[in-house]
Amino acid sequence: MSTVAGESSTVSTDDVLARIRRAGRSGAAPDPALLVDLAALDTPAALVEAGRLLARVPVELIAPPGQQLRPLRVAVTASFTAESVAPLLRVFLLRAGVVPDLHVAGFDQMAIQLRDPESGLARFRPEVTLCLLDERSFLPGEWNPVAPADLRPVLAERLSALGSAVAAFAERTSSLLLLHTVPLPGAEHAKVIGYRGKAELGRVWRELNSGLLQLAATHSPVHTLDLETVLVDHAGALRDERLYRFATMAWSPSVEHRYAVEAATFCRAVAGPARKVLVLDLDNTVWGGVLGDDGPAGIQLGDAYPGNCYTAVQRTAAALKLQGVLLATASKNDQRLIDEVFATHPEMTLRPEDFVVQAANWGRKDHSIRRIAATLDVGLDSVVFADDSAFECDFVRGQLPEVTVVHLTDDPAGHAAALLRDGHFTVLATTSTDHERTSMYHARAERQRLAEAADSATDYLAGLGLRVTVSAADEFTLPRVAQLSARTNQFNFVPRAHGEARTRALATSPDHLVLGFDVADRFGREGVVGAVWVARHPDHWLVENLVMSCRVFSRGVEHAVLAHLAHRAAAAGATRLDAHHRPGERNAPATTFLQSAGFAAAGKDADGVVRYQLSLSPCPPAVPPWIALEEKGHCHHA
Amino acid sequence: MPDVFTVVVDLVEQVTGIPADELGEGTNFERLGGWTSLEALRLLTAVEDTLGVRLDLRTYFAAATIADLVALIHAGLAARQRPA
Repeated sequence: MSTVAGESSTVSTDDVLARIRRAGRSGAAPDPALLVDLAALDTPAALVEAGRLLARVPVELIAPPGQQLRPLRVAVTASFTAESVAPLLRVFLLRAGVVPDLHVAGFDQMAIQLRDPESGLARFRPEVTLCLLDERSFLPGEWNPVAPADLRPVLAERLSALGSAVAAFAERTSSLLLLHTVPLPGAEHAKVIGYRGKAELGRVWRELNSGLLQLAATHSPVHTLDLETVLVDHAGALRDERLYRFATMAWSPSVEHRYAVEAATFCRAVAGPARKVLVLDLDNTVWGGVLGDDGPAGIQLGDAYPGNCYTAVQRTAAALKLQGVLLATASKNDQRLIDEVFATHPEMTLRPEDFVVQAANWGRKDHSIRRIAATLDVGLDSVVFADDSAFECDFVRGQLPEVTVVHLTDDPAGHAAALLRDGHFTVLATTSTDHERTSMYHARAERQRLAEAADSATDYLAGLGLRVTVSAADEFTLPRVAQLSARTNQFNFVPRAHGEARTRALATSPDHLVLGFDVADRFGREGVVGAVWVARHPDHWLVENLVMSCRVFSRGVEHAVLAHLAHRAAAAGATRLDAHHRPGERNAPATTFLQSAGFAAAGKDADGVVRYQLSLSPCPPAVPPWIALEEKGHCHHA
Repeated sequence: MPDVFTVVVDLVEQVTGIPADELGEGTNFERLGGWTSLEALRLLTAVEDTLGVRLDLRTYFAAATIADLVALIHAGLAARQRPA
């Protein structure tokens, strides 16, 4: 049996399976190293087996100390037999720190399961529903190869039926759905013998796939994985004809595996914060060669191999930066030489301003990474570190297990793809705030310089010229508001309380209010950095949740938003402002805020949610004097 | 490369959780606890992945014991090595 080198010992597939079996027996001892050792499972069959066995293992036994595992309810429904997808998904998600509660609907019952409000699938109340399709969901068993265009109305009708079923299901359950494009099996394509006819069939089929992709644009809870494109790089057949004929397995085991990897990446993006920071080594990573030895003119970059491999890495990093990933460097180098490269090398794609922090020194890289995370005020679990050196990679892995390490090994031609391979930065959608994130961090650094120069905190705040703009969540801001609810770890009243579907429903409800708030100062706009979900009752308003990005901590923004809510509630005749708060491991800043704002705890419900109350008379909370508060679309009180 | 019998026994252990030392040439699949066509397909996939053979489903399902399956795999491996 093959093995991998773990941190300290060598673990084999057989050992890991045996340990999972042991952990599944009643009264088993804890095995907190098991999740990490799942990486040793190397054959597809062993992964599937591990996934089945893990279903019986209580997660408390295998949770590594100090690691926060996130729960997620995932349903799998398929138009064919896809036995291994759920077990594989379980392994991949556990490895990523997500504990799935999995429900597998009966195979080939997708249409009924989606439509029937009382189906097992609906009653499971999934947060994510994976819908697995094969060509039989659309293509009739017999079709006329003489006129492939005749398929067009048939495919369109079936697509539209699927579209309405998933939309209705999403509305009823608040579940996100993942559909996918469907590859046309070679055997069907080969039924048409004329090239003109084959082209027609290809066109008709792509219209179907284009329609599946379009569903993601028209229904916000629906997402479509472009499986046809994913399988372009897949080695092996779409299906094993024997297993298909015998047991309606439309996908070969390796396609099931590939799909499960993609589905796990999707679920991870739903469950929790994605990685936000890419820390790059420089020598033999961002350019070829060693700057200290080869000099600025001697490093490899540009059009020819191997320089073009490093140029590809730079372009990949630049593409990530445009989508909201923050770039930083950790290299053992002389900053003066690096500056010279940026200033003089004609082939550099990345500019100094693309990086939010540059750490060039001769010290330990784990120290540099810690400092970068502290400067950016992000957790180490938000960081991906890429380096070509096996030593640096192992060292960082050992010192900072929360950091995701990408070892850029072998031929540099593969490095750019390796940065993206595991989808560390994958999110459901990027927003305009993401696109401007790097410049916002630069503005923040300017702010810090001002803070160091200002005599007192109040001078500093007054000097910032803070403007907070509150606006009702609309089509443009809803995705960002939902994203904040999913991603905000520190300042939230209730962690991940409202998904996008729920937020959307509340935003249009007459009894509720969903507000986003935008912060700007003289250095620039922060964008929408927080949101609040409110239920309006006649005598009191209840804040179901308030979240705020840690980027704007310590500026009184939350107090300004509270004052705004209090003012509106009082104007509507309410005498009290209530708030739900579920204290967790990381949201202590929210507890502190509630107390400092004068809220008093008034009981706790069975789910651990504490109800806080604040009387609006005689003196309601006021907007801090250094903040100008505006309400979009309204004239606001002073 | 370990012999075919050892590989098959290991894979049956992986699929069923029954320890390899309780399995033998005479072990009859149908009499293993919880053996269904799904376990049979899982074993088929594991055998084919590990040994690089491709079996005919009709003869595969006719193999009643571990010894029958080992013989079938040997025949498959031999056929693969014959010049075309």
